[in-house]
Amino acid sequence: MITLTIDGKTVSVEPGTLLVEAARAAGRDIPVYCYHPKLAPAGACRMCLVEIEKMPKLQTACTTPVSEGMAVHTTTARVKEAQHGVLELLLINHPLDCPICDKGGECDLQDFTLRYGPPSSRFLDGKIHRKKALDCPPFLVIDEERCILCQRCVRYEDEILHERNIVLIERGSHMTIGTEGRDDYGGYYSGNNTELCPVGALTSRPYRFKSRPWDLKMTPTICTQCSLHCNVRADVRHGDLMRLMIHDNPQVDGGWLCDRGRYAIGDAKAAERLSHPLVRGGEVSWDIALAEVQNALEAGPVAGLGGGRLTNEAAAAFKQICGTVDWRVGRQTYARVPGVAEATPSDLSEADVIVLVDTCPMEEAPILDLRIRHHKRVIDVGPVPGMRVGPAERVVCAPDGVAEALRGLDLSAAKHPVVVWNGRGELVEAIRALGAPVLMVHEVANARGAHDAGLETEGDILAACAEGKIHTLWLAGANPLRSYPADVRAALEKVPVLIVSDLYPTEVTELATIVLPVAGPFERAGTFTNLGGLTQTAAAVVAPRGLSDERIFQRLRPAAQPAKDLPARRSFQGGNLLVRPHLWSGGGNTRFDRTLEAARTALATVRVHPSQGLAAGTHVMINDVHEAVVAVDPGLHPAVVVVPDRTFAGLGADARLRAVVPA
Amino acid sequence: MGGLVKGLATTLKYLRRPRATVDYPAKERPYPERFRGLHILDRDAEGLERCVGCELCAAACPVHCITVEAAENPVGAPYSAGERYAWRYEIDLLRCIFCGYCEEACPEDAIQLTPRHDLLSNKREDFLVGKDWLTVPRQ
Ligand code: SF4
Ligand code: SF4
Ligand code: SF4
Ligand code: SF4
Ligand code: FES
Repeated sequence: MITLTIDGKTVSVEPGTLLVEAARAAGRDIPVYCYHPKLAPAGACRMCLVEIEKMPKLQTACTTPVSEGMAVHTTTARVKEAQHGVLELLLINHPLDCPICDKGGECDLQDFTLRYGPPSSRFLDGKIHRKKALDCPPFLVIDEERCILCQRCVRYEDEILHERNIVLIERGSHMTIGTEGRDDYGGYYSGNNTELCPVGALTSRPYRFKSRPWDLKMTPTICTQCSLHCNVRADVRHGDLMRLMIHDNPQVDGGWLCDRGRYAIGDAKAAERLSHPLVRGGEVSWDIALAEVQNALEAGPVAGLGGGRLTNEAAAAFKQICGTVDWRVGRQTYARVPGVAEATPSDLSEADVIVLVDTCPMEEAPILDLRIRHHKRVIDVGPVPGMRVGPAERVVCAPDGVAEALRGLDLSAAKHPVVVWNGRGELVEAIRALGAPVLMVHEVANARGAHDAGLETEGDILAACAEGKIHTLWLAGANPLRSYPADVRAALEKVPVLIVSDLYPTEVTELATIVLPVAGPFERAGTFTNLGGLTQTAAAVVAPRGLSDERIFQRLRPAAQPAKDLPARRSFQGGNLLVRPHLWSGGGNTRFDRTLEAARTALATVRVHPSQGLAAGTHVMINDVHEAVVAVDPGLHPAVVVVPDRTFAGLGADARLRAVVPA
Repeated sequence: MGGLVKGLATTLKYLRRPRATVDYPAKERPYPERFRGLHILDRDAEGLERCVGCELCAAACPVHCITVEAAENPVGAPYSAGERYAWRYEIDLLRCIFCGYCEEACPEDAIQLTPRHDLLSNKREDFLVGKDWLTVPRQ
């Protein structure tokens, strides 16, 4: 430990600690712009100058490590003069449009000017004007005039994302920030920039002008858009969710959020949202609807599908009511690999070798990818590249050759290997043979919780429906017409009573006998278990529309006759058309979210290998029904064609591609 | 008896003096220019709304009787100069204490207290005034 004094106060800190942090430990706040605890020190803004005894010049506290016996002063006349100077210079070209700036009220430039700045400006000449309100789709808005060139955004892009979506452009007094060679942002993590930026130079389109920080009621909760469950702070005004902010949990998110988690919250107010229970198309009261449900539960064999989006409590209640329940309504078959140690997100940070098994963390749990992309050794096995950013050893194989490729890997030299898998396909044996802890990435947010609550069956519920063995099928937050790898419309039509509990009218509510509108995310409290097995609480921060799933199940009695003797599960192996997760194509409510239009444009894309001879931008038809645009990806296995998940409902492994000759 | 005469004399004396009251509402007494009465939302020289929806008035108001919600100015037909305007501006005049802090806080000189003081209605909701009531008409 190293002992030093800061403003006469003695503190002991670890060797190598920076002065800013030591000062924080001593209860002294040193103003900083460019310094951020998660980024490497830059010494760019000079806001943190302090006086150190025996040093002739002022030093930047954000780059100076502590040393034994150091005596630091943060409030001397020299320091104050320097702070005045820095702020006066920063404000020379600053537009001072606080009244129309979204950062107003939580802006470091406002706060430090008030606390440490000069009372007035001596600068009389005109200010340099630059571009304002510059859209950087899908979510960012850039104001070049407000930028103080602290480079937090630039360093975040570089050090955390390795993407460089935002860079410094021009030089000298013309220097500003912007994108390089494109007009849009191009990544999945733009929102963090709006929190890192100490001023209002980077703000967001969805939150634009919606509120002031002092209007907001702030509640910590979790994001349930994917199975990672990043911690968030939900900011509510007038009973509506305005925005989500980072709420650092080092075990889970490491203090970052992806854009889907942060911005896919605009659907709660969508006009189409279901408001009344429906029985055979007619609006009825809750009492009547639940009485109908109860009758249906007692009339014959009952099964439930879904539950992977419910809270742990609601999932357990769903199981209790329906008896035979399966959360698997998509392509994922396994929530855990039996007999293998479970890895956590933190294990990824310590791993020396990471094996991606036909999984793309960037699309399936984006913040997890931030722990993977800086790794030196990632082995990326599968027909489709799972590693989008950062180096990886690609092991290209055919869609049915993944197990074979895994058998060819030797991890015996690795000290701390971690395997990442999304539970699709029959790979359990091959993965177990690798002998490394496995981190599962799930298709729906609470798959792990649903698995723990026992929402899995041996057989295939949808096949049983097709055979007429089920009288009442309950779909709870599930839409097999969009998520199941084959067309199951006929099976659903065959069920005498179809109960659907959901937020929106979808393909399945059209077929349903009884529709129950339920409370959405942020409207119901409960616990969720994430992909590393961590159970966390989600808070209800806004008033529910509809009852929560849990309340519905609580008002019912268990089914008299849970379905039995189901036919065996089908396997969807084979075929070269691969349907893969895409951040914005996932199920759930995002398709009802109008604020996401800009992000969704890339959806109708098929990826093909260059050897297929299709040029990028060619229009193709899938199954002669869906039109899509070609993107060429040399990382693919030559034979495969990749389409984003759920964009094309019911697309099976038998789908075909046909190029359209331009008219 | 003497007291009665004295009282009547005073009455008669005052009868000849000018009246202290005015015939309100037909006539109105002039108020000092800086009297803090009912609010207006002013317009600028171009006729655009001065208010940019910054919510500083609402933050300054000691009784929290102002509600502002802002939005982006529509392209081509802006309500105010610049990027932002208030699509909702409400004052609960029954709660207002006419302290003038809102006026003082406003960076755009948009919200102003005028000498107008007649706050009359027999319906409670009439005292919850919005942008249509507050904004001065275009010249
Ligand atoms: S960045 Fe800060 S100081 Fe600059 S206009 Fe916005 S709120 Fe004001
Ligand atoms: S945009 Fe913000 S974070 Fe980036 S350099 Fe400018 S002030 Fe810093
Ligand atoms: S005059 Fe005072 S009480 Fe009334 S609205 Fe303004 S700040 Fe609020
Ligand atoms: S009246 Fe003035 S202080 Fe109030 S929101 Fe409008 S511009 Fe801001
Ligand atoms: S915070 Fe130290 S130089 Fe910017």
